Amino acid sequence: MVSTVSSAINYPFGEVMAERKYSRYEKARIVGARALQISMGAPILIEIHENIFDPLRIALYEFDNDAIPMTVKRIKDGTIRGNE
Amino acid sequence: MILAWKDTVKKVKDLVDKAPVCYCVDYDIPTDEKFTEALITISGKTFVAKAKISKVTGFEKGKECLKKRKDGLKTCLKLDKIEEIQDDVVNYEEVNGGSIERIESFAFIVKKEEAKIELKESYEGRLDKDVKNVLKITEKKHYQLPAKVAEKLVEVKRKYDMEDKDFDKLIDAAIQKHKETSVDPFEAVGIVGAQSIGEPGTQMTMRTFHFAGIAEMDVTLGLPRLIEIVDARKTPSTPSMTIFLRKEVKENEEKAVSLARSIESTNLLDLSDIEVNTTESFIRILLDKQKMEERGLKKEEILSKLKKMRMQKNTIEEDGLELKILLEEPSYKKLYQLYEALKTYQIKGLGGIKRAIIKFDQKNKEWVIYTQGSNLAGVMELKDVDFTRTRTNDIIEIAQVLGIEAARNAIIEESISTLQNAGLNTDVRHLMLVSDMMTFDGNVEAIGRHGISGKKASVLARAAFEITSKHLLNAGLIGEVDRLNGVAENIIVGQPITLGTGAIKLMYKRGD
Repeated sequence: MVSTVSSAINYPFGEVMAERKYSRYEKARIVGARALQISMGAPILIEIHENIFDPLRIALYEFDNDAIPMTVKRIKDGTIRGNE
Repeated sequence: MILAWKDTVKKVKDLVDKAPVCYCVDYDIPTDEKFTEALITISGKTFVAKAKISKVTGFEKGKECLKKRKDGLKTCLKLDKIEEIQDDVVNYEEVNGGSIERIESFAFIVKKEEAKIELKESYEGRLDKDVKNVLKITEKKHYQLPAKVAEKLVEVKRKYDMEDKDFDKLIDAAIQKHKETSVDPFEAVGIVGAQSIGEPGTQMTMRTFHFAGIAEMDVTLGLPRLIEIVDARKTPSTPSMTIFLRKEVKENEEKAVSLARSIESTNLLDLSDIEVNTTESFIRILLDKQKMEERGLKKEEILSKLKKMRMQKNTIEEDGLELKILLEEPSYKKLYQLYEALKTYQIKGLGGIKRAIIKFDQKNKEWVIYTQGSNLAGVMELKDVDFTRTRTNDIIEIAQVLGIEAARNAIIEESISTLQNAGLNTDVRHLMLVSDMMTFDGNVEAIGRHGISGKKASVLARAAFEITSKHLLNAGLIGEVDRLNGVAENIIVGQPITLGTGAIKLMYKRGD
């Protein structure tokens, strides 16, 4: 249900957040946003096999390798805010 | 014995101010009993003052003392010390039976056997040493497993005689599984719950609309019952109770029969025919011998009950099984009022309980009483009843008697048992959510216009549900603000909703 980020990332939120993984909604949101960027011509940030053309697949590949320069806005204690 | 009387606020204040003092009261006190303590009530609900009596003497004129009344004084009490007591849970019993509310002017009471209050250790505190150890290990792994799961793990460890290394792996697996079952933030649990209850609900067939329950009892089941629970009706259409007996008497059939008989409420009309004679202005009660025998009542009991009834100065004439109630002066209106009062006058039993049946539970080897009608507070007070197991299907009554948390559990249990009765397996967690929503503000609230849907914080959400114009007009009049926090309002406005991906805000990661 929750996808694990393979390598330890340096989160700006400290220890507790480093323990956490992205929820499925967070993953979908991040990958979706990145895929949109790629589909509109954004440069790809890591080496990718030249046979992969689908922006979504590229975004997923980037996500798995922790290359997407985006994260989720959260309050420090780990809760996520709704419409503010 | 303790002396108790009713007094006015002013007099009590006077007494407290002037103590020690001599106080004259308007009633006789038997000399053969010794009174050292006195309790004074004002409202008839709680005792407000406690006094020490040192001497009881007859009343003499001319003596200087405080007087309860101007005349008709009979006894003099010497009060040494008097102090006000507050919120005292008084556990006293009137010598001639009854309670504090019945003290009209004075009474002699004795101290009741006092109930001991023992603090039960919390569930976490009562856990096994090994279980606590497991919880400690999981804490080190930055995770919290429910105690129940930890208990199961320990059980498995003992059964298979596991080594610590393997057990550690098992704990890890348990944590992993537990994580998988937890819900992600912003999951639409309400929608999932609604679907999960609604879909099996459609499977309930007409067959379950009316269902003969246990021991000739008619109990609403199936969809009608489910609707009833969710609507939070004041009284269910078929209120019923299951009464269990205390350990000591649970195998005693005689006790069970007499208990069942004693709680069945019996009206005068159940035992007799009542005739009104308007020309001569009297009421004739024709007692039915057979019916009386069925209910185990004697004429004398009925007569004494009738005499307790508030009937100004009417006289009762008896002639065999015929009772004649004569009015003091002929009055058509009074005659009919009396007739109405007599019809539903309760001779015996607990109000609300229409019928009680006993049945032997083969599995647990005990007698159980099933009732039609419900009176939880009354039944719980009975001596031979095990009130920890006794239950009713009246949720509102549970909320009144036992509190909102009990009502929450009752909603969960009632709804899951109705579903399971129809052969449907719905996950409890959906019903827990429903129950939580119905009870979280402290009252049992229905789901629907009069309940939680009608009390949403957002105007737009309320308007989207029912009676749109009324809500919008009213909101406009009082200048309501909508913060657009919910789902319905955001759909109306055309924004992404605050659920799932829609609730997540992105930001760029800062580069190092």
